[in-house]
Amino acid sequence: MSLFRDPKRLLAILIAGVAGLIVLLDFAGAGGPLATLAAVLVDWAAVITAVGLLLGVLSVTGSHVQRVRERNADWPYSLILIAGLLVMIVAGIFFPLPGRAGIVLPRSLAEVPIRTVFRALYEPVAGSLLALLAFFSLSAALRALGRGSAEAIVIVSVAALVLVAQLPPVTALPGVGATLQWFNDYVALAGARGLVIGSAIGAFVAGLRVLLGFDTPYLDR
Amino acid sequence: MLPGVNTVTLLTLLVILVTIGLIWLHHARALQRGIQPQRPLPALDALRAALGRAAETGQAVHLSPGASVLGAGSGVRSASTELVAGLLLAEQAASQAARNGAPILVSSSDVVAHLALRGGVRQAFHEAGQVQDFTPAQVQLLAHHDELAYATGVTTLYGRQPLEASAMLGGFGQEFLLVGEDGAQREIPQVAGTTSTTGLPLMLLTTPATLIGEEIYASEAYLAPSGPAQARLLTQDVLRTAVIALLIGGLLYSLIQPYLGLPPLPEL
Repeated sequence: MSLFRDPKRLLAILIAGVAGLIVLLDFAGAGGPLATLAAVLVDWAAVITAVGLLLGVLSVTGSHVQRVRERNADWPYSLILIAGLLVMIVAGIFFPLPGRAGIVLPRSLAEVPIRTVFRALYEPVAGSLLALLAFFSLSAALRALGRGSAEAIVIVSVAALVLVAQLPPVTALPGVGATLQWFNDYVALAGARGLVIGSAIGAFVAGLRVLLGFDTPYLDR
Repeated sequence: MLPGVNTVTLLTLLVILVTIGLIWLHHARALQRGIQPQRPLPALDALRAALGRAAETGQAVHLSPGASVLGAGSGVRSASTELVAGLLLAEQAASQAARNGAPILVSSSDVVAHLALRGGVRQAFHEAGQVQDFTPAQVQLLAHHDELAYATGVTTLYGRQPLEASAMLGGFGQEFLLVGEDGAQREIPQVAGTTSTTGLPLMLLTTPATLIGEEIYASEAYLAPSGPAQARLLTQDVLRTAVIALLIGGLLYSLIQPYLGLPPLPEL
């Protein structure tokens, strides 16, 4: 359908395109009133994200309340999630803290109650998951070698070589450190830059097409 | 030169204008004549096959636009365009699934992406005339701005129901291994792709169906029969050729410049 026959869609594309172009031109260093306008737009985006977060919380809560109500598989976990959500929201907003002029409420999520819970519960769990990656990578490497994939063999061989070469007795050998450095500075960096340039071109075209309204992932068609 | 406008700004604007011209040209060409993708992407054959099988087995195909977030934030990995590419691909795969009658399960780790996916997937089912097959529970927000939480959420999905395949294309880092390895142990066919140098080697170890770097931006063109997706691919190829030519030209110029007494290349 022609855009001019669908004014709602045309308006949405115009708003998205003009807003995106203003921020892009500001990023390119245009300055002046464009910079002020871009800053306002970025602030608005933050507000929209906050509203989106609220909708997301409602969606997650609704989904898990339904799971509990219908006694679906693993419903106790849903109950724990809802309880955790409520505790964090209530504690983050209403937890009384000692202030200069008496009791005050938390000003942000970085205040004591939330921070303490994060340090006590979340950080150890996240750390454990990261530690698991070492074992997972070993298991993945063994499976990939068994599969005989050429890329996997190269990755595992290079990883093993780099690990061995970084051992102190090996690094002390003449020429090893300099060779490793040369590989890092030229071979590895060239590969990484090739990947970055290719991805940047893809991202650039994808971004411009969204700004121009050719792709509209934000729009109900 | 105008005050406040430097060479970099002018060059940026020039590149943007040229690219906009190319996008328009290729879009018009694609709508008129149609363009066929020329490079094979075998990783996507696995996704296409899974979408076909899912219609028969009734097992869902999991789609994920990545664990990255829209916009930048302190301490948060931002890869907005990767996420946009993942969103477009997820919506395209949802369209195919709706046409085939294949069940899908879509997850995300960003609230704005979640809302976009809900709209996009619902619309895909609506356009295919299968709106009765769409339920909001098919699109799940597993975490927000937390890659590890998202990864563990996806592994929970893997454990909760049998899946026909899982396509994870977008922003992924080291957390991918938590999902990828779990999927490999459960023998779920996985299609993965990212531009992150941290995530890519782990993907290559975990699944043979891996899209490398910019291939994730091209992948929609391989799933979509529509011209616009093909046009994007063509613009990318032209720009890539131009960058390769510039790099080779720059290298040759730098080699001969001292011998011929030519001025050095400007540093931007």
